[in-house]
Amino acid sequence: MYDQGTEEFDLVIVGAGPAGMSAAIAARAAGLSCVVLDEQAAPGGQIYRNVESNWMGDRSILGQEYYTGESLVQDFRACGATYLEGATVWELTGDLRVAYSRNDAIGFAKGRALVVATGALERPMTIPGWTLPGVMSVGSAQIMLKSEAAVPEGRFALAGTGPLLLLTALQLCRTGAKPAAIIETGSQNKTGAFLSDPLASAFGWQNLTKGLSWMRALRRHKVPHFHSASDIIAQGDDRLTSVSFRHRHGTEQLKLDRLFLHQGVVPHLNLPASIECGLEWSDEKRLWRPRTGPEGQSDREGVFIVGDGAEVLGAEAARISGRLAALEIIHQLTGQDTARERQVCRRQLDTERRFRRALDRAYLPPRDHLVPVSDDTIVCRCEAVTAGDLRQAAHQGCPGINQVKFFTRAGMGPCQARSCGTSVSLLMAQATGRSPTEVGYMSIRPPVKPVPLQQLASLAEEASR
Amino acid sequence: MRRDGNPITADIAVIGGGVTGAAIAYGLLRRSRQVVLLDEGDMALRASRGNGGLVWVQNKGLRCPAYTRLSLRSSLLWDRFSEDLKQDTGIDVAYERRGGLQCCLSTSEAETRAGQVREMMAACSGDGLDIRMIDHDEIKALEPRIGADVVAASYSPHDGAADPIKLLRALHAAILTRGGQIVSGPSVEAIECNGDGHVLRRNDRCVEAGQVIVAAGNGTRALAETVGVHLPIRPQKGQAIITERFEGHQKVFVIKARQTNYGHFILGSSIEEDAPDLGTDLGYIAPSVARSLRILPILRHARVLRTWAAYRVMTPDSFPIYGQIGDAEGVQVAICHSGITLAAFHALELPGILTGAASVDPITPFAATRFKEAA
Amino acid sequence: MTFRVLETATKLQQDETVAFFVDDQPVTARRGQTVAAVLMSCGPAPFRRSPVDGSERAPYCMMGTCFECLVEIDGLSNCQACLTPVRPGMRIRRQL
Repeated sequence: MYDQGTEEFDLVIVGAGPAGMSAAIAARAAGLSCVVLDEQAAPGGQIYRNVESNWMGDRSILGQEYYTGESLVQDFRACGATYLEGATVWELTGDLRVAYSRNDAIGFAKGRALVVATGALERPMTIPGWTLPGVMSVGSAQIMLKSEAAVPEGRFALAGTGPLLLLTALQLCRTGAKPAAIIETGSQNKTGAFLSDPLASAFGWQNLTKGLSWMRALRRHKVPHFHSASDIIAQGDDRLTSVSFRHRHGTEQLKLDRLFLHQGVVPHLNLPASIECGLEWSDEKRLWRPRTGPEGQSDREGVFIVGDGAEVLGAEAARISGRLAALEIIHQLTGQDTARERQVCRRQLDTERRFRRALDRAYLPPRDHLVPVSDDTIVCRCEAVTAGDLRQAAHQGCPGINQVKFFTRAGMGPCQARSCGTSVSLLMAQATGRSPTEVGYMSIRPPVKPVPLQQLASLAEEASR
Repeated sequence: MRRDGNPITADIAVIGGGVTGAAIAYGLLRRSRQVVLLDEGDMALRASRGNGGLVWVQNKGLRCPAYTRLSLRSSLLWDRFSEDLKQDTGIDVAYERRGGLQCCLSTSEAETRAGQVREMMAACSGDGLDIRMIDHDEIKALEPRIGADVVAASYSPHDGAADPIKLLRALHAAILTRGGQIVSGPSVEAIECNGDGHVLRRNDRCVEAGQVIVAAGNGTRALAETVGVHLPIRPQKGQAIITERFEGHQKVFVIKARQTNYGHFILGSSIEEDAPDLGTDLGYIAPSVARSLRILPILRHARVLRTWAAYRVMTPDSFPIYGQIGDAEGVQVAICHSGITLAAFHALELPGILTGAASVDPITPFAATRFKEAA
Repeated sequence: MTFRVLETATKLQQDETVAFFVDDQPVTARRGQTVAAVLMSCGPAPFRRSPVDGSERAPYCMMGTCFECLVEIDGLSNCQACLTPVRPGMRIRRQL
C-alpha cells in the first residue's frame, strides 16, 4: 500500500551508531545508494553520542576512546549516504520496506537489502524500588555527560556490575562530582576470572589492565567501593531517599538523591523480532539475541543485523560487523568480489570475541540478580506487573510466555518489553524449571514504536486525493 | 498418550481450545458430561486473541433473521454466563452491556443504515429486538466527545463488550475446576470412525472418544476433509490497532472507536482476503483510522501502541456452521467468526443441542448442508 | 536534586538559546538539548504518573527505550521527552 510515496535505495540502514555508520561508509565506497534512518538527532549512536557538537570543553573527562568517534562521524557525513535524523522506524514489511515517522509525518523507504543496527540497551536490573524517581540507569548518566555536559547534584551512587559502571564513576570523579559509593555485585577479584581462562586472557589483557587502572584511579579519588553486594533495595515513598544493601563485610544503608544501576547491556532486538527473525538465548552471556550468520544475515532474506544489536562486543567490533555486512551486500547486489575483505573482517571479529569473553566472565551478573527474589518487586514497569504476579500466572498453568503476557499484561505497555522481556523470560524459566530457550521470548509485533494516529489519518487522506 | 502408554479416552472430545471450543467444553461439563479439550497451546493461531471483545447484536444477520435472533439470544445470556464464570473461577471477564453506536458520517450513509435497521426490526418484530436511529444531539448526550461530522448513528441497548483475554483464561480455568481435561500439544491430524467411537490421531498419539465436536476455527476445514466432508471455511485477515490508555470512560460503546475498561481505544479492523501472512502493514488500517478520527476527534492525540492481526473464520455467507457433518454420527462442528458474542450461547445452550438434549431448531439454518459443497 | 551543567562546559551563545514553556512557566535552554534533559535540570523530579497504579515516575534510560519520560508537548500526550529536542515556543506539560 502507498507505494507512490516510497523512496528506493540499494541499502536501507536503521541506526547511526558505529555499526550503522560503518555499513554506510562501506556501501557508499562501492557506489551503492544508501539511506540511514536514525532516531537520534545526530550520528554517533550511544557510545559516540553528541561527539560532533560536544560541549564538554575538557576532553580528559570523557577520555580518549570517546573522541575516536569524531573521525568516524566525519567520514560518515562525507560518504554521501542520505542521512535522516529524527526518524523513528516503526515497521518493516516483508518486501524490505520500512515505515518511519519524521517531522510529524510518515515516510517509507525501500531497499534491496536492509541493515538493522539498533544497538543495545541496558540489561534490566530489577531491584525493589527501581521504579522510584531518582533511580536511573548508568547509561543515562553517560548520556547526561555526553549530550548535556551535566552531572548529578547531591549524593549519588552507582550499583551493579560491568566496565561501564567503573568508567562512568571515574568520568564523574574527573568532573568533581564524586559518587558517594560504588556498589558492585561482583567479587573484587576480577583477575581471578581472567586467569581462569588463560587463552582468553592472553587476548583480553588490555581490558584487564584498563579495568585495573580504573579501579586504581577510583581508589585515588577515595570513592567508597563495596564488593559482593546483594539485596540492594532502593528506598523511599514517592522518590528515592536511600539505598540499603549487603556486601562482603556487612550491611549498609546510605542516604541518596540518585542511584544509577547497571548490569551490562543486551541487544535491542525489537525491530528484528517484529518481523519474526529468530531469537536465541545465550547462556554464556545471559542474554537474548537475534540469530545471525557469519556476515550478519538474519533468518529473513535480505535483512542483516549488526553491531551490539546482534552481539554485544563493543564499539570496535560494531564497526567491523557493519562493514562486513555491507561487503556481503555489495557482493550480492553487484557481483563484486569482496571475499578477501570479508575474510579479514571475520578474523577481526573473532579476535574481538576472544577479547570480550574474559571481560564478560569477569563482569557477568550473578544468576540470582537477574530475577527478583521478592514477589513485590515490579518486573514490567509499564504495566506495574510484579514478580509475584508472574509467578502466580506460571503456577496457574500458563504454559507459554505469550499466555503469561496476555494474562498479566507484562510486556503489553508502550516500551514493548524492552525493560522487562529478559526478566520475564528468566523468571518464567525459574518458576517452571525450564531453560530460557524452552520458555522463549515474548512475541513482538509492529509498530515497534508508537505511531501517532493523526499521521496515519493524514496518510490515508493524502492517498485519497 | 498417558504415561502408561494407553490412549486418552473421553466421552466427548472437543477439538480446539479457543473461545468457541472452550465455551462448548465448559457447557458440556455443566451438563455432567466427561470432556477432553484438545488444544494446540501457546502459539496456536488464535482468533480468540485477535478481536476487540465486542458482544454485538445490531450489525448481525441483515437478511438472515435466524442469525440476528441467535446473536440477540446470546447477548441476553451473557449476564448469567459471566456471573457463572466468576462463581466457578473468581475471574471477572468484565462484561458490560452499555449499548452500542454505529456512526454515520454522511446523510447517504445514514439513509442506508436506517434502511438496514428498518429491515432487521421488521424481520424480528416478535423477538424483542431493539435497534433505532438517533440524531447527532442524541448521540452527544450518550458520548459528549463525538465528532461534529457524525450526522446520525444506529443505537442498540443490546450491544456490549467483554475482555476476550480474561474470557479465554476463565473458560480454561472453569473447565479444570469442573473436572475437564485440557490436553495441549500436537494438533489433531485426522478423525477416524471405528464402529462405536472415534479415534483422533495426533502424531503417534491418539484420543478415543464417543463423540467429537470440532471447534478448531480455521483448522476445522482440514479435519473435516479427513471424514470426507468439504467445508467452505476460509481465513480472512483482519488487522486492528490499540492505542495507549486514555482518561475517561465511554458511556456507550462506539464501534470503530471503542474504549476498553483499561482506557485504551481499539480501532480497525481491516478486511483482507488472501493475505499471505499475519504481518502488519499499517497502511491497510490507515483509511479506517481516518474514519475513527472523524468519529472521535480526541483520538487525534493518540498513538498506535500495538497492532494485532488474526484470521477470521469466514464462510461464504459469513454465518456459523453447527451440527453434524457427513454421514458419521457423533462428529459435529461448531465454527463462527463471532466467537465472543456467541460465547454465552456456546456455553449455555449449544451443548444441550449438540448432545440431543434440546431441540436442534436454533441451529438448523446453520447446517453445513446449506453449502452445495458440503451436501 | 537535579543535574547541573559543568562550569567547564563551553559557554552558551545567544543564538543557541531556545525559549519555551514548561507547565506554563517560561524556560530557556541550549539548542540541541532534549526536553527530558531540560526537565531533569529544572525539577521537580516526577514527569508523570503511571496510568496503571498512579505511582510517580521519572526518566530511567534517557535513550528512548524505557518510556518513563512521557510528557505532553504542544497538545500531543505521551511524547518521549528524551528523543525530542527543544524548539522555540514549545509548550511542555508534565503528565501528573
